Amino acid sequence: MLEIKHLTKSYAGSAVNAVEDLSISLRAGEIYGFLGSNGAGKSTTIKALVGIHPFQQGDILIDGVSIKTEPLKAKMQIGYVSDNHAVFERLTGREYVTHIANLYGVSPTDAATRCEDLLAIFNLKDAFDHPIKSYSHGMKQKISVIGALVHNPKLWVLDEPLTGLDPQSAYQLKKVMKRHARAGNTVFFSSHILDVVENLCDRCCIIQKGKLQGVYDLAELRAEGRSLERIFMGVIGEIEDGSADA
Amino acid sequence: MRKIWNLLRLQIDNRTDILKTASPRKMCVSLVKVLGLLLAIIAALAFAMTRIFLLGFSINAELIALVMLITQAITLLFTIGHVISTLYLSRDNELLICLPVTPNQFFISKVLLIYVKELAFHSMLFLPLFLCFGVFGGMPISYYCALPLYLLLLPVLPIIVASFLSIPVMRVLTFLKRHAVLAIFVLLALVAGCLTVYISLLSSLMESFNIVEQQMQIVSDVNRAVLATGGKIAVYYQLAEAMLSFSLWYRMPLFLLLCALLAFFTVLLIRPFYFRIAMPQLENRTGGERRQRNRFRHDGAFISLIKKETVCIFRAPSEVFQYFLFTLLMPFIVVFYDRLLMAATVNQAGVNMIAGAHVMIVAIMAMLSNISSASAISRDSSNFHMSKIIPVSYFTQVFAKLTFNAIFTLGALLATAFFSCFRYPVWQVLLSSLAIAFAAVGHIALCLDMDIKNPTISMQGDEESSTTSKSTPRALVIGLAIGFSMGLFIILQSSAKHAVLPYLVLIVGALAFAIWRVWRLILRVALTYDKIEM
Repeated sequence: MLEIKHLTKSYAGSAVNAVEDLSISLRAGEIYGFLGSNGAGKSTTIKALVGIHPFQQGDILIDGVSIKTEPLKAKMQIGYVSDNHAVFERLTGREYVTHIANLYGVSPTDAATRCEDLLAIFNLKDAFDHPIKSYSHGMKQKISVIGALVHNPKLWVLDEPLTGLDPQSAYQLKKVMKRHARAGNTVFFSSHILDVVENLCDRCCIIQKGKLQGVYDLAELRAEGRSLERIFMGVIGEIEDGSADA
Repeated sequence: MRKIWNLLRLQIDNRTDILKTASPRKMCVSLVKVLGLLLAIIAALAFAMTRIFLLGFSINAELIALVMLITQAITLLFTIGHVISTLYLSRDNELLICLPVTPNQFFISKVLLIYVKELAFHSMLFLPLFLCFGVFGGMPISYYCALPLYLLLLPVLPIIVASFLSIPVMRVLTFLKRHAVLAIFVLLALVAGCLTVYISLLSSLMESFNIVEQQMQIVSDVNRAVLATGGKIAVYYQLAEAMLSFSLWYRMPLFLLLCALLAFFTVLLIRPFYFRIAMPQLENRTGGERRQRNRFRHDGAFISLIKKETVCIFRAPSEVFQYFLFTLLMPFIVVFYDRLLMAATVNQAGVNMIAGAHVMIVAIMAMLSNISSASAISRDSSNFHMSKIIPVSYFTQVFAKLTFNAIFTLGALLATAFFSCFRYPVWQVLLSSLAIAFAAVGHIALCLDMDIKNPTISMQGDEESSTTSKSTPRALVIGLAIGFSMGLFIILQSSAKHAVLPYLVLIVGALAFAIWRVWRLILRVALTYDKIEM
């Protein structure tokens, strides 16, 4: 579903690569966690794959379509929730979702059906016709999620989606992520919360200083009794042997 | 006291960087700039006053009192603005209130900050005026020595009045904040009202001054009126007399005492209202007013983008005011300007030139209507990522922004053309409007191009985002230059054999400019848009 091939990205004026020769492959129907410490290159990778950042080398294929050569076709397959929950705050929730639906060419009937469902899950029905600027942090995150899912994307990308959410909202979001993956789509998200990744994801990878450190199957780790936390700490050099158990 | 001083210093430091620059050279440059500005104001005032006093006006206490009153009455609007922005709407309120200071210390530091701001503002205004009065009135040295003391005292009364007025003004602002459309209408009506008064005054003045034989009579009438009214402005008159005569120096401490008493009672009276009005501004209100419930409506991406631009701007009255004030008032301003032109040209040769002046004002208004495009990309701030992730080509997105601006500019141009047809020949209006329309489209493309090349992407939310970009001042200057050149061209060609020819040349030139700029914009979108990083 998503294939990142030898991705290398550096920022203008910087001699250091923010991401270097990163290659990962995601299957349809899986939830994939993207781990790394602050400044490891997670957001840069995500921004490159959704089309925000151009990149120097490599390619990113979404359902076989290159974001580099066929950006519009590739973007059609992606739903993105940014880390800053930026939404047009002067619009109401409904106006925002309608706008996004129009941009993705979603019919009003489909948009209404998908919205009704998500609004019920997120308890956002009452606020849907209120201006977004009056929403709380969590509500903005939820409307951003609804906007990202209104075209039922094959690949749903979330950057730090659980940061700042209350337990109920985090639970609701995880529920929607699982449901989206069960429907045969792929969910790719970055996070600092290792417990969430451990419990929610099918697979995850860790990057450090822009380089891939390893890809892990969470079911295998569980079967082997290995802790993701120890692996992560080992990779970033916090403890010497990450392969050992706590 | 020490805490109040620290709070005050913190707030001043946060607002100015003249004294914080690392290198002494930069600091000197900043100070020279301020002094240069002051000298320029003095020179301009000196020039204006030479012209005025050559007409026969005399400098006396009545005139100074009247000037002080009028100047302070006019600047009261700004002072109310300063009081509101510093006391009630300041973004650092939230931060400062958390510091270990008492509400009184916090409040007094805010009042002192207003005083500092007003002192700077009033000094910039009154120092050149008083210096000019001194030079032209042949004042003694004691007059100049006492000037700093007067400058220190003058801001007190406006602050007191503005503090009281700011309470009802804040109530109205809070109400209008919840009713954006009403706020836009109120703002437009206020500006239109002020313009009407201003242009009517100017128009009558121009009529009077053109009649040379009545000039001396008018001057002597004004002198009499000044003597009659100036003496009645009790506080200012006493103060002006003390300025002119050293023997009346004792009025100064009396004025000081009066100011201190008034300031004390004002602080006492305003203080209870302050926290009641200021604190709700810090609250993040959830569940705002419900807008009309709509169904999902299907539009194409292009229409949806234009709708989004319109809604986002028209729900913020401040942005409508900033970007579309001249657009919405264009027909109104042009009609009044034409009236003014007619009045001014009673004794002037070359009635044909009026058409050129008309083209100039319409073109300038049209170019000013395009300024929103100079921040069209920057204004998206943290939402700019949407431009990159949606499956809509960059060209379509930018073209939607161009169309959005063009709809308003060309709409206003059309309305202006309609009203202009009552004063000018229809062919003239049609041809000039066509030329201005082409130039406006070219200018919009240029504005967008500049912002794409050098956007100011703020990562704050919509409400906090900067509404201008680095390109705005440049776009403004270029727009003014285009408008001025178009008008000047028609004025210079007013004696041409074929009256239509200059307009045809203008149309061809404007069309070429539009094609060139739109083509450059298309190229820029293809080359640069993708490289904008956030």
